[in-house]
Amino acid sequence: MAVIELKALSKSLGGRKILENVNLTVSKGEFYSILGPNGVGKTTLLRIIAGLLKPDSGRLRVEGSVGFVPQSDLLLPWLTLRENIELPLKLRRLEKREIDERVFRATYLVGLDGNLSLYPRQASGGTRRKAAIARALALGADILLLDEPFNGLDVSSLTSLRETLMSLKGGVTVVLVSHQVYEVAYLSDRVGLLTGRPAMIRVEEVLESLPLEKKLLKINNLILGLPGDKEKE
Amino acid sequence: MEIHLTITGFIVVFAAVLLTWLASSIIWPEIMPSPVESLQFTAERWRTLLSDSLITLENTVLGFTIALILAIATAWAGLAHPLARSVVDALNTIVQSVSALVWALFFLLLFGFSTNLPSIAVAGATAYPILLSGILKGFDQALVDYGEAAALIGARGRSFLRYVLLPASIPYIVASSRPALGSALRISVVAEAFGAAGGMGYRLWIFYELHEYRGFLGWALALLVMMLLLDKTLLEPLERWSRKWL
Repeated sequence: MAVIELKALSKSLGGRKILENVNLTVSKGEFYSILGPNGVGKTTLLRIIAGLLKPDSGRLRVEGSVGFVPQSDLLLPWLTLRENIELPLKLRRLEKREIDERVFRATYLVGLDGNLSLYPRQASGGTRRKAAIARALALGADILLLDEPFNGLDVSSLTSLRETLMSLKGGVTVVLVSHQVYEVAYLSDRVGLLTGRPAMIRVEEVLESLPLEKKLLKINNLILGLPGDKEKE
Repeated sequence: MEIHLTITGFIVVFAAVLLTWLASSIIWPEIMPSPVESLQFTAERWRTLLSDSLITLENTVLGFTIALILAIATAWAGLAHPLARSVVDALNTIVQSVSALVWALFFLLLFGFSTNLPSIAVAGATAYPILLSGILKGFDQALVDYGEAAALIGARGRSFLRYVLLPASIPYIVASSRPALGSALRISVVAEAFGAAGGMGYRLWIFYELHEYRGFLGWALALLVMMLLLDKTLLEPLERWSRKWL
């Protein structure tokens, strides 16, 4: 069952057409990654799915609660990680017990138990990203939109975050935007290449159930435009 | 090292002031009392000094607090609509241009003599534009830095003000509070001198009228110490604290 459906979606920003005729379907529980060159419109696409931007034309259907984790985490620096995760729940006037339970569940899922009293600036990049994901999960998000979550992370943070996302697979639907080919191959069920000006998803590859080496090869071919890629209708 | 330099700087300035004072008291002994005479005179009247200091401090802090609340409310109102913002900016420019002397005389006309109200109002009117400028800057920056974060967590209306705008603007509010409180303290003393029943300004004026320069200089020195204490023990640490998460 599709939980995200985009049909012939277009968007202009500052008088420039960024996206044109974008078609995308993501099924429930699927891990879908979007690859593409810098500045092509990947973040714009995610922000449209998140409801932060309105498309100029086309159809957008999102079924479920969306949690958007932007590149810059957007954690509030004057709150501890725990307070950052709690605040949106407080704003929804949930009871204290419910808040505690949700925070516990979300932080457990992303493996964030011990570091919650840190302020964002005291935490590592990976911990901050996990806190931002936990915040989205605590809000009851069943669709996660992750914008370059691996950017700027050291090896251990990157590995830890990758395993966290792996553990979420199947439970939540994820749309990931990333340049990290290895992580995309490791995690994704399907990848789409967003290219062109204005951009559209031109080719897609199904990676699910393939061994990692084959996934990497497919993504490589996809990026280089080598034969074997399936042209999208 | 930095703290040592700061202390040394203060000691040098105090020593220079003391030497100038001493020299003046030798050159014009009929007008200028010596530092020892002044300090002795002041020490003997420490109860009056304490009471005057508390009155002035109370007037200033009250005026400052009212100004702070009004400045936050004004800046918040300015976010409602671009037109509201242009009104707030115009108001800020106009209020900035009004002389403290005009405020003092205006509030004396309005509230009359022998009450603390002119002093409180003058302190508030002096602090208000300084605070408003700082808060507007803070709100503008907070919107750029945390506008999207607020949308993501669903902070709207008053929640946005309470949980995002105000905490994000604290460094700006505290930074503008230092000059605002300093100006309010300096100017509220002027209002007290024009017409009040107590306070540092009132006493300074009385000593001046009575040609009691020992008291005049002693109270002036005490006012200076009060300002320095307020700045170094409250405002400066507060400013450091407000930047701890940056």
